[in-house]
Amino acid sequence: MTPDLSAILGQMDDPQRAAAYELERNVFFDSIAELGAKVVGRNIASLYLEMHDKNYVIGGYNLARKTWPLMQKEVFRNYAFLDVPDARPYMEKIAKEYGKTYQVASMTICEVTCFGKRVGALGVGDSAKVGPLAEADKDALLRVARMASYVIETRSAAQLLRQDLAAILS
Amino acid sequence: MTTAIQKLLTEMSPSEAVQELDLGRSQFFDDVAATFVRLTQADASLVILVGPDELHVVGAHGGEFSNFQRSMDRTSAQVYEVMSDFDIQYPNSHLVNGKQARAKSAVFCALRLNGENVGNIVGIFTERRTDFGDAQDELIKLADITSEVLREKIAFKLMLADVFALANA
Repeated sequence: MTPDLSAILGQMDDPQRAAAYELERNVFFDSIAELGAKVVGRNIASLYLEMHDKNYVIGGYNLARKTWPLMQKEVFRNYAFLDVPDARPYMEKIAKEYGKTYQVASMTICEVTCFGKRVGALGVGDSAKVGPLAEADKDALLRVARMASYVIETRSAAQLLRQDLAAILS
Repeated sequence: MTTAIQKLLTEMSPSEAVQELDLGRSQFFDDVAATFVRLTQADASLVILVGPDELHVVGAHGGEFSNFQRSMDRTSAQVYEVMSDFDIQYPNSHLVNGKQARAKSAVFCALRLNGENVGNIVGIFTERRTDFGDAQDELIKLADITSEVLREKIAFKLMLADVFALANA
């Protein structure tokens, strides 16, 4: 089952499909996102799945969005862990290129995986605070991202199993 | 919680349930314990499932903990509880500094399935403490996340058993 599941989630490209795997915005994922922000003392968080044309938010803290437009893909999707101590230049660039304005002074992005394959990320940021995460903060954030990965794996595997069960019963 | 899970949990001994439902020590629960330490600044933390006679350690951080006889320890049925009149030694457990684990204060958050307390996340403090800051909301949220994962893990394992049973029928 593992390779199939990894392939399915890696190719996940629409919100309806994500919802079918119980991967949509809800208070449970909001709690995980909030925990990610709180353990490192930040005040914004977003737990999202990366789709081909957008980032689909499944959990957020101080965040009303359901999607993020795909911006600066070469930066934000290329690293398992990316700490941006001063995000203001990126935000200025994004404002110029995409016409979107976000009040984010610093941010850190940790990839979220499903059986080792990247499917999204947990991003935390702060609306005012600038500066890098301490090493202990990095470890704490990585743990929360790993917990999110575990939940996504379990939910997705359960959905696949339900499909198997339905196939057997039919 | 489904009736099947409730039935299993009441019909099985805790050690059988831990084995059958794949609820042994795991990275996930270790991460929960580490996050609990981070939020409380505890000396160590453990995630335990409570049985009638024994407490099963499924996650730990800050030390190595083996299962406990229930009489050795105290647990809490409260969603969140601080105990500052604690003085318990864990004879087979050591902290990362090699010292035998000894709790003088503890903070408990309940793990619940369908409203029933099935375990705790425990932060232990080697010094007497009464104030754990304003982390209470985050600790309860962490316990809720852990409870939900526990429920999903059990449900998955039970469904897997159903699939095999049907496939073999």
